[in-house]
Amino acid sequence: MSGPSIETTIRLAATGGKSDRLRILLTVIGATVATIILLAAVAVLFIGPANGPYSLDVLDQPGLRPGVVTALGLLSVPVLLFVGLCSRLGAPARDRRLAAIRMAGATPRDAVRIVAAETSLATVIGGVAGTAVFFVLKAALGAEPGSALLLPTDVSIPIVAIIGVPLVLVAGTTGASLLAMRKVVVSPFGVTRSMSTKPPRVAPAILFVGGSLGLAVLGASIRGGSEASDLVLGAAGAIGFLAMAGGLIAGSASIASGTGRLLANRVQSPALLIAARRLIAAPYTASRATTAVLLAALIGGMTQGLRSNFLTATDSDDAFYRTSFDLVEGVLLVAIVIAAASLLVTTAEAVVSRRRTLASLVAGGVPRSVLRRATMAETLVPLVPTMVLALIGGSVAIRGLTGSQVEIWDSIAEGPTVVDVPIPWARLATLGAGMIGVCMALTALSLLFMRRATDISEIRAAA
Amino acid sequence: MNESQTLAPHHSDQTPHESSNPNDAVLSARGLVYSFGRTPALRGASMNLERGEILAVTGPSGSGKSTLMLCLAGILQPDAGEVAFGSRVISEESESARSQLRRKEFGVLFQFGQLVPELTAIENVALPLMLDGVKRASARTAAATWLERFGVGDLAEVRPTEMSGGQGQRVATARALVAEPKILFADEPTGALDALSGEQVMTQLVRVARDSGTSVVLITHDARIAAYGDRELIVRDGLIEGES
Repeated sequence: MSGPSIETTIRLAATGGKSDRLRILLTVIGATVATIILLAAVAVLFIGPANGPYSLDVLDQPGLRPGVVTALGLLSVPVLLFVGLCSRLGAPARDRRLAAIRMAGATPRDAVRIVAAETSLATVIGGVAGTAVFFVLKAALGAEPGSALLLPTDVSIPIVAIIGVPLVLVAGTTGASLLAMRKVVVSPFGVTRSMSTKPPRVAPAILFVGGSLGLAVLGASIRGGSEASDLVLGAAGAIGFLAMAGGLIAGSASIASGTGRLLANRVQSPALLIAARRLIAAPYTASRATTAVLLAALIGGMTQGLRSNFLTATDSDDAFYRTSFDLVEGVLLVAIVIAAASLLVTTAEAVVSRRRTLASLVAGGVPRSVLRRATMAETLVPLVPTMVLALIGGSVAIRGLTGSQVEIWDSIAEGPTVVDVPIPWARLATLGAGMIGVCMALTALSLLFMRRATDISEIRAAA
Repeated sequence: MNESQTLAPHHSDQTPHESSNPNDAVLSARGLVYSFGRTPALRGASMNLERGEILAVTGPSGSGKSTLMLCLAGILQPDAGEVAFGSRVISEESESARSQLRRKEFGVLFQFGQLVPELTAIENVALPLMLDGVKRASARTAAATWLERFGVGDLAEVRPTEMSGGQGQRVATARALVAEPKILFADEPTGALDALSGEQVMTQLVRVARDSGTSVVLITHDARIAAYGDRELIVRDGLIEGES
């Protein structure tokens, strides 16, 4: 026997309870949104001389289109992270199902195939739905002939891209789910995940600082008249950004664990004590939940640094740059909300998966408000320092890349003059406070599950 | 009274407590009715619990014994009937008041899953005191004493996931008793343990309850565990069928 047929694998993957159906539904929704965003990026990429004109300058001017494609590509990142986090939803119930399937004779490889099949199936459905929605929207949003178009609805997208985008998504999510199962042992008696409680500290710091310094060196080299090609400079910039992002995400687990340790031996509040101990015991849970938010914060910090530089170097009232940056910030806002939605899923899942302990605590007289505060603190405590690091780090890195001074035309002296680029502290603080506010609001929303999770019947629920 | 007399499983020959003077009772229930949807779990159960008494409540699975305990502890609000703790009719109190009562006057012990897995043993035991505003250091000192009483003092800094089932249940019992409750409600406290660990937990639980004068409502379907009670109530089909 070479294992179960594809039909059996899909049947086993799609069989499950309410939480399994919710996980599949959210994965489908995530894949649908990601497909729409990526097809929109492809549409911008294929804008030709015959297309347009467009009412948005960022679409109308060919030089700005790569920026739009990059922004849309980055926007798909939190969506894909959301899809990845959805795979954790209802994990205890799925783990029991997988163990039962193993008990019935399935091999560990079969169990992994079932998990991968579920993700693939949901992404295929999302990919097809997303493609359909994209073309419906494209047709619906097409403007009257003769008038400027708002969006590139007149662009013909090659069939290769139409098929390729969903296929790449399916391959990516399936690969990610197989990768996630690497550290999982599915035995007939249960599912074991090996997870370190001691996240690395030095390597993430080196990556983050190294990436930031790399961008500064790159900026100095460009300003010094580097003769390297745009491709090389672009690749160097991308490596610097990825190093910073990688360092930040990997380091967030360490920051979560560190803040937990700092608090655990000092706090008087039971809610803070529970939160701090949770952070120490499962630092990667906190880090995983905030990955998308931190990426958005890093990009937000960079955007603010860039905005400050551009608006200092040009006329700060220049409508073109102002509108362009407003648009970028609009995209960023959408990314932040999607990123925070991941947090909602993770927190709700954490509450539901710990329902027996929570229900026992409530039965023993622990007020639900203490458990709610503990959950909020578990999100807020590591989020604040990492958010500050991401925003300031992003802004400083862009300052390094573009320089802390720019040359402008002094109309009074009638000659060029060098001025300092201000650090946009107020905008960074507003962005940080807004992001933390959105995150806390969505975490609070997840607490709606708390009452159900602490119902007395949950004491007898299986773990 | 020597230790063997104190700890050995036995039943008293007393008159049934339910028929004794309810004024002596620390907790009493009258005509409790509770249904899960359309399925009746309690159909008019009445009982008394006296100060310092260890009351075993037995009965087959689904008889309503756990539901009776949950109503007595104020975790569930009965559909009809009343539960009185001293002069307080707790079945009529708000959820918040009942929650506070459980934290201060009652201890609750379940079969498993009640310790916060991320907290150390000493933090788990100190938690009810900290919830009542006791300073961390004092709460930890008290918790350490209770862990010693249950023979798990050396596990103070160990987390529940690193303990055996018996050790975890002793920590949970220490936590249920740390606030020095008047009544301890224990629902199948040894149900997840092997016979030896179960005996150890029960021996220590009974000794500490006797020492502190805590009344115990012990829900069990195991005759050996029920034998630790001073009196045994038998529940069947949502009613108190009898007692021994």
